[in-house]
Amino acid sequence: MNVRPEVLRRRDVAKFAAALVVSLPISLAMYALCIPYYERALVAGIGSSSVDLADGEVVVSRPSSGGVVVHDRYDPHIVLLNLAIVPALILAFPVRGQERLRAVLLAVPVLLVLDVALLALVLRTRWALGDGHAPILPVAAWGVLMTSGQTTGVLVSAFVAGRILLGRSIAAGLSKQGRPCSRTL
Amino acid sequence: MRFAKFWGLFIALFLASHALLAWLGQPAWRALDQWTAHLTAGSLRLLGVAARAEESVVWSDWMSLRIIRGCTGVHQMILYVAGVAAFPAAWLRRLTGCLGGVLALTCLTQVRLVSLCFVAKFWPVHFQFVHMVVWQSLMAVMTILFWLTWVVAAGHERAA
Repeated sequence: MNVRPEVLRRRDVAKFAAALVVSLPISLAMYALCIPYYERALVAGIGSSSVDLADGEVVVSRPSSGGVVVHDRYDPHIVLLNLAIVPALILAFPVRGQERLRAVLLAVPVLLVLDVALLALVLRTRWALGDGHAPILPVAAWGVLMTSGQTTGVLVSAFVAGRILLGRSIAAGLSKQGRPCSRTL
Repeated sequence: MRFAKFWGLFIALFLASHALLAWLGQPAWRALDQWTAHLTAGSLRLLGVAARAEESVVWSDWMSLRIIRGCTGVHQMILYVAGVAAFPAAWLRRLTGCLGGVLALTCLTQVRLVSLCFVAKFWPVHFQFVHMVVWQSLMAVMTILFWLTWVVAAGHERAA
């Protein structure tokens, strides 16, 4: 764990998998404890009367084509799950302690900003979708947003720790020195 | 620079795949849902649970489960395939990596759906948490794990 690998090795992935067995349950437990408070802070942070919380669900209000206000309910985990995934992955990544700390310090503010942006996007995209026959952009965006908690969890983890973890593997993959199967992008 | 190139390509492929999925529209999504429902009913029958699929709903003695796009594993597959395709390796290696990963994620999705049926039967109080939090997190981290496994395998083959 203390030696940075030249490229990612089988042993590193095995260590990562083993560490996940511990880090994921811890992260999920912390997430379950903290999420009710975080949800309230987040909805307050958005500051829109169109987004609210009820029975642990995010309620998005939008006008329908008939002029009636419709309340759509979403499970907040679709967006906020990144808060469970990112700590679990960063704790499990086979990187040095100092690099792990730096990754956590970088990830936390990114997640806070990202979650506000994602909830605001859910709101805007739902409005754009209306009651159907929406253009392709909001339809595609909706598909991404409905699993954005998972996706952004993976992306943020990869972004903050990926260079340390994968930078040399990618460089090795791009290098042609003695590697007949490699190719440049 | 190389890392930025990988990231740029990965994000572009990821967004393009989602755009393609959106463009394919309802008929493709419905086909995906129905296929997953039939696969799940088959998996349940393999475990001795009487189950059948009607359109995108799995009916069993234990519970009925409506399969929607998020339950099919397609989003994790998109993430994985974009990661494999963006990684600098031989095209054949990327192709086999994509096929292997999609197969692995399909199997994992089946484990997820079947286990959710068990949870609904024996621990119904915890169903929502297991469905929305535990399994979604597991799917995400397993996607990363499958991808890293492929990266290492591709590296070993390059070295050989």
